[in-house]
Amino acid sequence: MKITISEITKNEQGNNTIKFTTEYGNAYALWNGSEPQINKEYIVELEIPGVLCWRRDIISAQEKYLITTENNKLSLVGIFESIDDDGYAVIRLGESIISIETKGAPLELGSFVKLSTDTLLLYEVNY
Amino acid sequence: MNLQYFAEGADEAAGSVTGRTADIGSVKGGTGAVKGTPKTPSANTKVINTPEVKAPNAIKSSDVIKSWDDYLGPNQTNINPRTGQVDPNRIFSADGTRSIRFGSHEMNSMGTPKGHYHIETWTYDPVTDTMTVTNILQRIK
Repeated sequence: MKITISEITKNEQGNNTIKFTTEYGNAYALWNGSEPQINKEYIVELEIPGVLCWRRDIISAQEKYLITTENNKLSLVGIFESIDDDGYAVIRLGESIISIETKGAPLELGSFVKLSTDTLLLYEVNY
Repeated sequence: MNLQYFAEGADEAAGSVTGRTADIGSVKGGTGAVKGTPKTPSANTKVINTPEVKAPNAIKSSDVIKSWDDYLGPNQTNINPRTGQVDPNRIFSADGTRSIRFGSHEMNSMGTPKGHYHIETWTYDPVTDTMTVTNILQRIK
């Protein structure tokens, strides 16, 4: 996914939390990659750590890709594209996909879903 | 690139990558069909990413190295066909048109249900000076 970094905050451990913008909205994330630069465009891979529960952390959503922050949680809206037997699911956000671990009874394949998470990780992908 | 996660033979496969010289002339030279001096890929070449997709089936970890070798072929390199520089996150085919991406994110995913790597293709257009990169996420069981 293509992002532009708008803010950078370094925490006590030396890790960078960034605010970023995309064509689908803005959010905060932990940065993994080269030293980030404000206003620079990056291609990144998104990761949500942990296991998300269907119908609690993953709910139905309006048909529109979205990345935002709500009530101190990160929300991502995308298309529920596939799920494996062990709950490994793929959500599409435009031209990018994000893989997540899930548990519980999944929603309808092909529908838009909203993921809520406390933590989002971005990994820089260099081409 | 650390390939310790994979089955026997991984060391030999990793060794076959290290130190090899890139042969990317066929990519750098383009088709030669344009008038004047053909453009060659550079750090200024625009990258076009096609939509990422997931491979339909997961692969066994014991089959990963063979799959990479089958896909990339002989004389693999770590030279990025766009920048001409060493790419620490990828192994490329000799002609620079195919790559496996297995960087820190992918390495960290090993041993978890999210273990994966990326299968990529690189197609250079000297007329538009663009590099189109396709990307398939391959899950590892």
